[in-house]
Amino acid sequence: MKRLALVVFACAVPAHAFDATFAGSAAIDYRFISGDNPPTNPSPIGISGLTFEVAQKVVAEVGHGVSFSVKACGGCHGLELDQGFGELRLKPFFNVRAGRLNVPFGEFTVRHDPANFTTPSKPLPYAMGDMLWYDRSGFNLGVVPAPWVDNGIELFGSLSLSATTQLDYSVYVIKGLAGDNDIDFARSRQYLDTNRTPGFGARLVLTGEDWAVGGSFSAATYDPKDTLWYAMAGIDLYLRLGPIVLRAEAVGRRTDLDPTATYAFEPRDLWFVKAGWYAQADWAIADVVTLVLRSDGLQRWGLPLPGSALEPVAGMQRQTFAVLGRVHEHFALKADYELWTVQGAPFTMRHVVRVGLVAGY
Amino acid sequence: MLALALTLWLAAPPSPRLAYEAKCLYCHSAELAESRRLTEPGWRQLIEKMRLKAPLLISRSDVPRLARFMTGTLKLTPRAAKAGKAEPGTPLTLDKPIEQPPHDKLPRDKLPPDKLPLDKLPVVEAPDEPASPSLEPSEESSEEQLALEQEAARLIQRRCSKCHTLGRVYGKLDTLERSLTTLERMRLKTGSGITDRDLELLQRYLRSQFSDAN
Repeated sequence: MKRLALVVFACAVPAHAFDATFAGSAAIDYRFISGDNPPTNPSPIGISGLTFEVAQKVVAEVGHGVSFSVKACGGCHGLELDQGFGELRLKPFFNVRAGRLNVPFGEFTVRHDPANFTTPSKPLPYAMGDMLWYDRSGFNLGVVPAPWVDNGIELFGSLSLSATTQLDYSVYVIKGLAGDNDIDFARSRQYLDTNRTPGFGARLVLTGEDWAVGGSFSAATYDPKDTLWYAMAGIDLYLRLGPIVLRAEAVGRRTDLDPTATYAFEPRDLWFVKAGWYAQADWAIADVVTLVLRSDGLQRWGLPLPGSALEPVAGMQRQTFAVLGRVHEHFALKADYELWTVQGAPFTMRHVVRVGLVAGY
Repeated sequence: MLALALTLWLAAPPSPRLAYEAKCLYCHSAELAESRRLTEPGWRQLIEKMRLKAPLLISRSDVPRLARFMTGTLKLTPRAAKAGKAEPGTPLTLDKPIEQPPHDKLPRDKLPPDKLPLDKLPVVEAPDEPASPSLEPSEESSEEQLALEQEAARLIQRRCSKCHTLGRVYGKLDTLERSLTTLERMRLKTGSGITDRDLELLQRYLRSQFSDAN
């Protein structure tokens, strides 16, 4: 594979000038949580409630439809490789991407960089360490990691259906998510596979003039013993009405649980379902100001993890009002108010206020 | 009613003021953008210079339109004066603002032109040389070119802003080759919504905008 890449590179360079495009972003975010004993989250700079992340990307076009993309990012988990793939564009309907990919699952995946979404926080289906009660004693993160970074190969393309509608597809084989007795997003980003069964999945998006409907699916085994499966699916909608953009997504994951895990009772139905959704309206009231209303939630049905405070049916909902101000060509201020409510868990309602500054170039 | 209002809003032709706000004020403050007083050829020269920095933000046909707006509507033309010395020289550029102390702290002879009494305004000469040939009115964009630019601007707004801020788009697409390859790459992002027709139109638009610039 490396030899093939080198041959392609060597053939391509003389024919076309090497062209590199750089892009990057940085985001700093502070949040205040109401009430006593607020839940804590990891902070890369050790200040509770303050998170910081940076990303730098370079895309090298070497001609003949060949490009290489590398994106590194740093944040709560140190320096990581968000992208590192080669892309070969052959025909509009058939193209190949291989390497360390952003797995194409759901609509939010392509906007996971803080410079590309309008709220200070990610929607709950894609939330990771910045959600309240994120650890294994709580909801154990969202449904799908964002970014979802994995090694693999992807075939993708676009089929034109009419002058204004087209069907985009993507099918892929990847390493797959990893964990023990439920998915562990941090372990899933490791470079080496933990089992022998590859993950696989697909995404289809039907797009029109100002709308899009998408569906995604993915499945794999996730444990080192290669016996526990997860399967997830999602649907997403996009609609633009003048200055208002509406987005909605619903994703669900069925995850097998480990029968050898230690429970105080004999467990039955060794699996659970976690579903997440969001509906969001972005209203650009001026060139520099966007108001955002978002309602999102996360629900879990099934056997709680050992040590978890959740009941067999538990959920959280969040209502968000956010403002995005583009104060400069490269800088935007984000602020929001979030109301968190929880059912089926001993957690109390929380008010959260967040402010953030995002830079992108 | 909402649908009607939206339709009317969408169908309304872009006014020069909106173009000024969307394009000049995208990067500059109004204070800075309106700090110059130039003749129409002078404005064209200046706006063309800005256009070369962001060809996707400021199209070719925007140049004469914005120049006319600066001189016709905003009246940012050299004022005739009875007294005061002419100050020929290199015109200030928008990307090199001069730091000025507050006007009320300045002596009268140091006040900026727009704060001076009319009879004390310096005479600003129009440039001796006409604007470059490509900026002459005889080469103003045709109706077809204008329609292409408007449609392309609409497409860039609708398709690219789905995932990016437009600032990133305007900032990155600074050469024809890079623009075309980036467009091709973005088009193939699953769910981009960039159709064959969109691609053809945007490619035509990019070629028309960069043909002299590269």
